[in-house]
Amino acid sequence: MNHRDIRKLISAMVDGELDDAETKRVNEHMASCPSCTRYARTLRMVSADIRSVSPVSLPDTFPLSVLRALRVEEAESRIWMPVEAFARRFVVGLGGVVVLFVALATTIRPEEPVVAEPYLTGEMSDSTATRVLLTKEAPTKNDLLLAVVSPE
Amino acid sequence: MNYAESDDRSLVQAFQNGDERAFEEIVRRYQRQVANVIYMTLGNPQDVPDLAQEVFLKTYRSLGRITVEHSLFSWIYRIAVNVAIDELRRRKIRRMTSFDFSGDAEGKEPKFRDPVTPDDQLASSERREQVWKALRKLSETSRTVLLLREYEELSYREIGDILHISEQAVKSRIFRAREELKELLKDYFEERP
Repeated sequence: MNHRDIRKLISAMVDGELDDAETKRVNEHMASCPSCTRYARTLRMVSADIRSVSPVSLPDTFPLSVLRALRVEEAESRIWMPVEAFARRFVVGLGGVVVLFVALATTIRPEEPVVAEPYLTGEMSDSTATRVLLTKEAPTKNDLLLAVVSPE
Repeated sequence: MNYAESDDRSLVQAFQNGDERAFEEIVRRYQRQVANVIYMTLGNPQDVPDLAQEVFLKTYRSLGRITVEHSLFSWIYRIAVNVAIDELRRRKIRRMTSFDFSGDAEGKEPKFRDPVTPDDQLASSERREQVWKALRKLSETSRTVLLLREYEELSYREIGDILHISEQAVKSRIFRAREELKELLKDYFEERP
């Protein structure tokens, strides 16, 4: 057992945490080791110094002042509760509107214009198809369908 | 019901069942320990009442979560250590940002219990002041374990229960804390023959 191990035991001995056998072993070691004896004395001195710091005390009425503070805190939270509830509802509502808007924007798109085939648009005739197509700058699918199915 | 005679578990149970008088007794039972942790960490007795109140308000809000395997003292002690350390950090940040290096922001010097004789007072007052300063320079782990041992006079088993560590671990931590302290105080505790 080296000095460090012995000093660990001395530390426990100062605290009264060694059993009889260990205490005997440490005392035997210290009897022939002045350095460890001084170490034990130092620990006892530091221990006494730490304990010499006077404790602070709170008044006997302290528990009541804590309960009073709790009442104040609860009263304040009651005051803010409706405001908080409104704020929470507002944020949730706003979130819902944003989600709805995004959903609509991604699913509903305007119908893309269909460019008429040249053979249809280039056909200079008096047909209904020509009339339909030439009057449209950007014919839609429905316009094309109408042009195809319409009789001349 | 007279709660002064009740054990911690019964108090917690009564509180969880809605009896606030149980909480009042919890505060009364642990106010001294909470005050000491704050005082030891910040060093100024004037800080103690407000911060102790903060500790118990936090305890009140968290006590619903405590279960049978928790020690009430340990629960409150952890809250107290955290509140004190948070306050210390806040002050250090404030001191750094305000460039105010004039005062001892870590607190006033403590009062010491009356020594045995006036001679003893003369001989040891400076050393005790140094011990106090060194104690405050220890890591949180070391300071906590030493305070529980030296100030609360708890056994290794009780400390282990509070910190959720084995008795062997307590023994090692206390030894390390003392070695740290001895190193900080080497000018005052030279091993003279």
